[in-house]
Formats: sequence, structure tokens, C-alpha cells
Amino acid sequence: MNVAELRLSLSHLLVTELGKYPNNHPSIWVYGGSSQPPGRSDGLECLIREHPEVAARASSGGQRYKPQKWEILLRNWSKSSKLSIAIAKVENRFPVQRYTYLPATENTLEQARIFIYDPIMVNL
Amino acid sequence: MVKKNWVKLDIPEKQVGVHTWSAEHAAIAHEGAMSTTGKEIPARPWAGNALDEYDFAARYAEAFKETGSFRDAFVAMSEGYGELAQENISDRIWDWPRATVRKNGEVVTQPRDIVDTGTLRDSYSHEVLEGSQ
Repeated sequence: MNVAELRLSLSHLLVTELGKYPNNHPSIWVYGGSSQPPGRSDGLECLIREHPEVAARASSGGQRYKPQKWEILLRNWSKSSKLSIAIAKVENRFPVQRYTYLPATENTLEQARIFIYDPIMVNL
Repeated sequence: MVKKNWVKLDIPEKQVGVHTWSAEHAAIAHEGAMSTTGKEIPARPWAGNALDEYDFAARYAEAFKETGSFRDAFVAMSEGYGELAQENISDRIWDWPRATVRKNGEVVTQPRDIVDTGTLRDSYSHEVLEGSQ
């Protein structure tokens, strides 16, 4: 899975949960490069880190096992309950390694950081 | 008839290492947050990163060789993870988008540690639970 495939998959999966940016596009964004999201979302925002975290380990048979994982951050800019629905959907669709959830406070938004396990084998 | 003398290994049914940082700001410091006004607090996942960095199996095996006890090896392994996580708090490895004047008067940019007054680091505790649940 590459970042484009992950973005496409999440945008389909969360089509009814995602809010919109001021340009009226669904608020899903790949971050880590120089470009910033086109404004604040009006609801649920999904941020995908551009590159997976990779920890390469040697394996046998001329192959290398790369236990990479994708990090996505769900932020809720509204008071809706869509974040919990989105977490459940992501858990059902992807092998979630772990996730952390922070409820909204007086000063901060509700959010969940989710790590999706995506190991690959590469030939040496 | 062959008589075998089995060695009964003392293997705990279940052990759980619980690592806690009880400082009030620990969750937001670890996970990051977005303020309702749009100001971002970057995540500094000292404990999460340590999970990825720490070789639990290697440390467990090493500790078992040292102690000869599965129980003690688990405790040593769990303690080692906690030490690494605490080092991550003290190391200047964390990105931060702006200069800040800390409560202790220090002006910090990046990369920075997560030590201001030391409240977070000092709030750490570790225990190993044992049981069948």
C-alpha cells in the first residue's frame, strides 16, 4: 500500500464522516511535505502522514521484512460524534496496530491517532 | 522403564508492565493537540517511540540469562522499556515549530527535550502486575 492508495481508501471509507475544507473538498490531507491543508475543516478531518514509519529487520532467504506502519490523525472540528464512528470503521477495514484517543476539552479538539500495520517483504 | 525427572519451570501465568506518566499535561504532550483557536501542539510520543525502538525479546532473553528466572526477566525487560522512554523525555530530539520561554526561564527552539520543570519526567511510575486475568 502506498500513500495514494491509503488516501483513496480512507476517503471512500469515511465519505459520510469527513467534513469539508473551505474549498468544499472533503477534509482529508496528506501531510509531512511543505503544503498545508487548505484551511480549517468544518467537521471531521483526516490527516495522513506522508511516509510510513519503517523499521527494517533482516530476514532469511535473501529477503528483508519491513514492519512499516501508517500514521493517521483524525480531528473533530465540530461537536458531532463522527470521530468514534470513523475509528470503528478504520478498525474494521485495516489492521490497526494501536490507537490513542483524546476527548475534546475546553481548549483542544477531540482527536484520535491511529497506526495501521502494513508490513512488506522486499527482495535483496 | 525410563524415569524422567522433569524440571518444573516457574513461569508466571501472566505479567503486565504498567508504565504511567501521571502529569496533567502528559496526554497532550504525548499525542499533540489542536487548540480550538487553531494553534497546534506537536506530538512528542516518548512512550510510543520507545515501543518501536526497544527490543523487548532481546532484553528478555538477556535478562533471563542473567537471572535464570522468567519472572525477574520480565521485570528487567519492563524496567528497560521505562528507562528508554524516560531517556526520550530528556533527549533533545523533538520538533517544535516556534521558540518558547519555559516556566523555568529557558528559551528553547528545536530540537528540544520535554523537560521544563521536570513534572512530566518525575510523574513516571512503573509496576508489574501478575495474575491470570
